Amino acid sequence: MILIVGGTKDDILFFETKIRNKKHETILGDTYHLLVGNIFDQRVGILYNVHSSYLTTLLVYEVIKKYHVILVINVGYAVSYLDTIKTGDIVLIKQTYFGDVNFTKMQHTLLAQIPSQPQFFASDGYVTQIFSKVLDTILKSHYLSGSLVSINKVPESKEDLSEISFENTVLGRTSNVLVDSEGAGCALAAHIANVPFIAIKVCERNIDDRLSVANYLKVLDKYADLGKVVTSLIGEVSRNDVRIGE
Amino acid sequence: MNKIKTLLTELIIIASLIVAIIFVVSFLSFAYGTKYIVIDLILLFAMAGFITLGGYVFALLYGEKKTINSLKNENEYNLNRNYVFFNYDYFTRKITLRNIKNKDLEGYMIAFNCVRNVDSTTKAIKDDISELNGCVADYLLERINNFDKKDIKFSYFCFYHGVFLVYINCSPEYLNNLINDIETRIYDISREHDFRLYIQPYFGIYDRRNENVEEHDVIYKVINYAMTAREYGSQNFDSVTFYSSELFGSNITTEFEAIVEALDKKEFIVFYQPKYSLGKKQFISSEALVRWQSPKNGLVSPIKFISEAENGGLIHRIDMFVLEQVCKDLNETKRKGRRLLPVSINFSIYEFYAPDFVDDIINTITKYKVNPSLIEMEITESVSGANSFVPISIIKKLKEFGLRILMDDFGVGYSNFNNIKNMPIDVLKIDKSFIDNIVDDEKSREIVKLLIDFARSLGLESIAEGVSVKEQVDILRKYHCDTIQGYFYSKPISKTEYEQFLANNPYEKKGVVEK
Repeated sequence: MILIVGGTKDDILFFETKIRNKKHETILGDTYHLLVGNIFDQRVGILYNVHSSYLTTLLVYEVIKKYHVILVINVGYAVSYLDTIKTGDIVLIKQTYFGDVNFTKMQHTLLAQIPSQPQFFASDGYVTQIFSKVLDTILKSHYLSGSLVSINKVPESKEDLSEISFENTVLGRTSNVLVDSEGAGCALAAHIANVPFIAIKVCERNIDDRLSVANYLKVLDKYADLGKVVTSLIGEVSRNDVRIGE
Repeated sequence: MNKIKTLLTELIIIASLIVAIIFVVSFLSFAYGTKYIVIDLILLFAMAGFITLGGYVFALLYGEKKTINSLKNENEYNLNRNYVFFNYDYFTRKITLRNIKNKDLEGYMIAFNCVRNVDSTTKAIKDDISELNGCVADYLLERINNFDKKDIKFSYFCFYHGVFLVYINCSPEYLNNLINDIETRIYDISREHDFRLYIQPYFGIYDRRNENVEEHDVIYKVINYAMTAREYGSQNFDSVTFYSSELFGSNITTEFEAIVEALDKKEFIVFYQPKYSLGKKQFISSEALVRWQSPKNGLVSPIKFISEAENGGLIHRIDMFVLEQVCKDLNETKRKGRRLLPVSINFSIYEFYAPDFVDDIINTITKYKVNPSLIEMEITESVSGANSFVPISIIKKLKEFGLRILMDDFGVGYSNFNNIKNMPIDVLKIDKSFIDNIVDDEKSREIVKLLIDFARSLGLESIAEGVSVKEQVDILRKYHCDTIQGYFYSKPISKTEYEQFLANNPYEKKGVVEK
């Protein structure tokens, strides 16, 4: 199964319309719902309304173990920390960080690093390559690559990342940083379960701005493109037409 | 057909009885006089009538058999099936006849295929596709023969140019279930037979309730709508697409026709992406990239139309347009006294097998009086594959004329190092997919270093494509890559923006004087 994780219902609406033979299943004792079905002969699970990395780590890990997940994709909206990303930009995430972790007072631990875990979770290289190829084919406009930082609240200002930022850098990154509230949880669960992970987001606003109606409509339009990219990736992953020597 | 056979049998039995009766009556007439002759004559006329009717039925049977054989032959050829179902002509004729008879006809036209983007010529793949389509035909036939009349009133299907067409009168719920079932069955068939095919069924559906059934040839329009919806879906990764005039407009043109129209209306434009030399710390050339300024879709990337142009035989026109435009732009740059840098142009692999390719290039450059050293040709690795004799000889001729040759997307194809050794190329362009992960992935860095060293060992210039962040530039500089191309410096821009960029950009040393 390929698991698609969205922070809210809005994040996964597109996929809900694409999925066929869909069923609602429950995890963790009937409390949380997983939508299961098929996209292009690939079994797909859709998890949503997972607020905060705390919950995401738990739910994603549970689903991975129960359903034999081969790939975790985190989708949705995020906010940009620096001006290099504009509203409506689609960003392919290369590294994911916890934005509210600081154990530097412990030995041999970097900022944002949970002890015994890596400082950042790198998106799977092979999946990134397929995504890049699909993005080039589908998108009319250019897309960006960047980093994702997750904090356990709705990002409202640059102050929310004060622990890990300095002037205009975030954990050493000077450009293309997005902030959300669940991506790092997915990445951690996937890392512990040794399953490839990748995130792709649409920038909804700058962290210091408020979301306007005009921006929201622009973002919705882009989100359909993102949905097509992810759907196409699922199609690519499902294909079995490789023949040796031909 | 079975009914006809039964009818013929019955006729033969009746005719035999009549012959027997005539015989008896004739015997009686002969034996007992003429009073039975009238009966005899009546029976003879009846016999003649039956013979005529029998002959008609026989002709019908023979004609039906001939149709069946032609259908069988076609289905056997396309689908490896020798039973009967409709071919395209019979399918459209049947529906048209039904239209004429039942003026209030309603139904859905469904067009679907099973396999995505098949352009392989391998016999094994073609056989698999044929078998897959045959199995799908088996399934449709079984489904149609066993439909419950309370669910659907009628249903026909045919196989036409790789696409199944199904015409069915049913409820929307039944339609939804049918499509789900067909899709599931296609995947099941592929698994059962272990077909190594890119299975991605796309369904285009047209609800013809709003059509004027008395319109001449309405059936062809309906089929066209369904196929257009299917084509649209396959390009947008929508497995089921309903045709709507709001979505598609009333004028249906294929992408091929749109490209022809665009060429005639000069909707294509050339953008330039600069290339930066790390050693010289300045921009030394650019790559010309074609874009389609579509009035309907805005600026369209070549990824969306190049393959269609190649399939439709239009790629030569597009390539020559780009070359001509580049020559014109170079002349204008020279006339204005601006900085004159070489421009590289992509040429499709199909060009290498076109008869006048070399002459067209040489003639165009000569016509515009452009110095050949300002034109560079980008070829892909696939050119260096099998049958490399022709491309090698073409490239040698163009090199003699003065062009520089760049190998594009190096590393992603099936590299034949021997062919590359024989290819008279000047530059290796390392594909973007290798550059993407060099910041975080050590293996990617090792591979890129290897490719740069390989280029240097052959005396070739190395260009890294798709460079987007400073960290990548730093790594490539460390590995002594010669030239960088990518969004870090500039995205592809128009000629005017390119000239302005060369005149004023933050990357070149101060003191580079504009000519």
